[in-house]
Amino acid sequence: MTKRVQTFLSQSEAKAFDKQHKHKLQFNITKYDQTVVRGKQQYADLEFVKKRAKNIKYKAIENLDRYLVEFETNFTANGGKVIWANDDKEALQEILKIVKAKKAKTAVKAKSMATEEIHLNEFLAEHGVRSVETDLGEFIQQLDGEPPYHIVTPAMHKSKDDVAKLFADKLGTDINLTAQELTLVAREKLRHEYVQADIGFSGANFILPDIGGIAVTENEGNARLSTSFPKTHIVVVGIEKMLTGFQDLAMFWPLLATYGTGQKVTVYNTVMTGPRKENEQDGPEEMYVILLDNGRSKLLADEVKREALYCIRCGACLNACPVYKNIGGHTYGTTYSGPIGSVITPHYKGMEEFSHLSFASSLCGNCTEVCPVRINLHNLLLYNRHESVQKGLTSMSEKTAWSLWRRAMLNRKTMERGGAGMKNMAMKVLFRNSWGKHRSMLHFAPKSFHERWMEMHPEK
Amino acid sequence: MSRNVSSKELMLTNIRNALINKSKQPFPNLEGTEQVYSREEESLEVLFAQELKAVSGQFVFCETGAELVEILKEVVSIRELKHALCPEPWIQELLEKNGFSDFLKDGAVTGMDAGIMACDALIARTGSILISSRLASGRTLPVYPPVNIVIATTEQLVYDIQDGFDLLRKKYEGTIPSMINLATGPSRTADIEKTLVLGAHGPREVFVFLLDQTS
Ligand code: SF4
Repeated sequence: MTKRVQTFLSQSEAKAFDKQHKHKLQFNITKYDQTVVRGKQQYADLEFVKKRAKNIKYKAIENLDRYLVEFETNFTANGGKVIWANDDKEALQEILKIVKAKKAKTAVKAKSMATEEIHLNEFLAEHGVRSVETDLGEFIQQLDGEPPYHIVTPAMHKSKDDVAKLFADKLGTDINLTAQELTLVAREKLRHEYVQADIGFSGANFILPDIGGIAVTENEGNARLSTSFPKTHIVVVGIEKMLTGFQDLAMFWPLLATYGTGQKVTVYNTVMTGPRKENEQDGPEEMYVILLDNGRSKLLADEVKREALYCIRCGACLNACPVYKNIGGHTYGTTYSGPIGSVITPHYKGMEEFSHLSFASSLCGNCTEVCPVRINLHNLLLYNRHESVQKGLTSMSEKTAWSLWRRAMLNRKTMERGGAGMKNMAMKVLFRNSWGKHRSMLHFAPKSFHERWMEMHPEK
Repeated sequence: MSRNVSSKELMLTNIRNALINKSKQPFPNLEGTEQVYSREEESLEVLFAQELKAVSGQFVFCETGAELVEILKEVVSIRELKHALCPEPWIQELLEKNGFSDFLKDGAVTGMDAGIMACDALIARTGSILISSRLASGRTLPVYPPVNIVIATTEQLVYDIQDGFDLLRKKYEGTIPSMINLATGPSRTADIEKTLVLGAHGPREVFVFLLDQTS
C-alpha cells in the first residue's frame, strides 16, 4: 500500500506539473468535447434514451445468471464454445490450452480492455506466441512498451511528433511523417499479420443472450480483419457486458458512439455469433468466448455499487474528470482509469490496495452528469470512501491529507505558481503525519506544506 | 472438461448469491417516446445520401442498370482499379454482360483493388450499410481491399438500425449468419492527435450505388 500510494502521489504530482503532458491531454479532450456536441444532435430526447439504457442494463445485470446461461445455450448451438473463467489465471490457462492445441505461433489482437486486465500479451509472449496489437493506438503503445493511457484513445498522451519519433526509432521510418503517413505505415505492416496469424483475439462491447452472440465496436476495421482471417477467434469479455438481446444494439450502438467519439454511429459495429457456417464464404473455423468474472461478482454483491457494472466503457467520465485531466491515465496504475476505474478497481483488485483512488477524486459530479447510462459515479466514489474509512483502511488524518491533495491538484493558481518552490514542497508531505509511523518515510524539505496549508485554510 | 463445469458452477453460484439482494429499477415509470432521434423531413434516399457523405462515403443514385454500369466504369478508370472480386451472382452477371469480364478476377481477396458486393439493408438515418457473412462477399471482402463498392436497391433502404434488423430477421429467419456488420463510411482513425485519417485498416473509399427498383 505504501508503495502504491506513494507512486500514485509522486506521479500525479509530476504529471500535474508537466505542462507538455497537460497540454497534449487538454488538446485531445477539447477535440473530444467538440465532436460530442455533434453526436448528441442526433437525439430529439437524449435524456429518455439514457434512462432507457440504464433500465436495460439494470435488467441485464439483475438477471445476469439467467442471461449467461441463455447465452451459453445459444452460442453453443451456433457452434461456438463458451469458457467460464472466475479469474485472470483461469482465463489464461484456458487460452494456453487452445494455443497449445493449435500450435499457435502468432496472434493478432483487436483493442480490448479485458485482455489488458488479464495481461494477455505478456502471457502469450512467455509462451512463445507473438501477439500483435492491431488498433493503431494500441499498436503505438505496444511499440513503446506502454499500457493504454485511455480506454478509448490509448495513445492520447502522445503528440504526432512523439509518434513519428517512436516509429523512426523502432521501425526506421522518416522522423517527419504526418499522421496520415504514420497510419499508412501501420496499415501496411499489419495487413500481412491478419492473413498469417493463427489466432485472432478480440474483446466485446456487448453480449447478446438471445442470439448467442457478442458485438464489437470499432472505427479502424482491425477488429473486423482480426476476426475474419485467423482460423481461431477467441473473445475475452467481462460478464457485465450483457444486454437483454440483439434488438438493444439499435439503441446502444449510437449511444456508445455519441459518448465515445462524438460520432452518430461508429464505423464498424459487428455482431459475431459463432464460427463460419457451412453456407458461408470464409471466417474462423472455431470461436471461443471466455466469460470473465475476475472480481465482478464481488461488485455485484453490493446492491448500491452494482450499477457500476452498467458501464459501457465510453470514456466520457474520464474526459470530464478534472483529476484525470491533471494527472492522466497512467498515474492511476490500473487497467481502468478515471472515475469509473476508481469505482470498480477496489472491488476487482482489492480495497486495501486501491481504496485511495476514491479519495483521489474531486466529487464535482461531472462524471455522473456525462455518463450515458446514468451511473451515479460520484455517489459511488463517496460510498467507497465511506467504506474504506469504516473498514479502518483510511485514518482521519489521511482523509484530511487527501482533501488537501485534491485542492492542490485542482487549484489552478497553485498549479501555475508551480515552479521550483512548489515542486520541492511536494504534495507527498501532506501524508507524512498520517503515515510516518507505519510506513517508510520519504525525504522531504523540512518545511511542512501541510502546516502552511492549514494556516491558509483554518476551517479545514 | 470437468474443471470447466465446476468453473461455471462456481461463477453462477457467486452471481446468484450476489443477486440475492435485489436493487431497485432505476426508472420504473419511464414513458415511451415515439421519436428519440431528431427526424429530418427528407426522403430516405436524400437522407441516406447526406449521411453517407457526412462520413466521407460516396453516393450514386442510378435509375437503371445501364446507368450503374456507366458510372461504375468511370469509377474504375478514375481510380485506376485493376482487379476486383464480385461474388454476388446477380451483380456479377450484370457487370460481365457489360464489359467488366477482364476487370472481375478470381483469386485471393488480398490481391484485389476493390470488392464489389451486395448488402442486406441501407440505414438512412446514419448512412450505414448492413451486411452479413451470409452474403456471397463473406467476411473479408468488405474490409480488406482498399475500395469497397456496394450495390443496393431502393427497397433495401430503411430509416433506422432497428428497421434494418427487422429486414435481416425476415431474410435469415431461423438461421442467424455467423457475422452481422453495420458499416458506416470508410475505415478511419483519429488515434494520432485526433487527426482524422481515412483508410486505417479497412477500405479508404466506400461507394454506394443505389439502384432504383421503382422505375
Ligand atoms: S461510467 Fe459511464 S461515462 Fe464512464 S466510461 Fe462507463 S459508461 Fe462511460
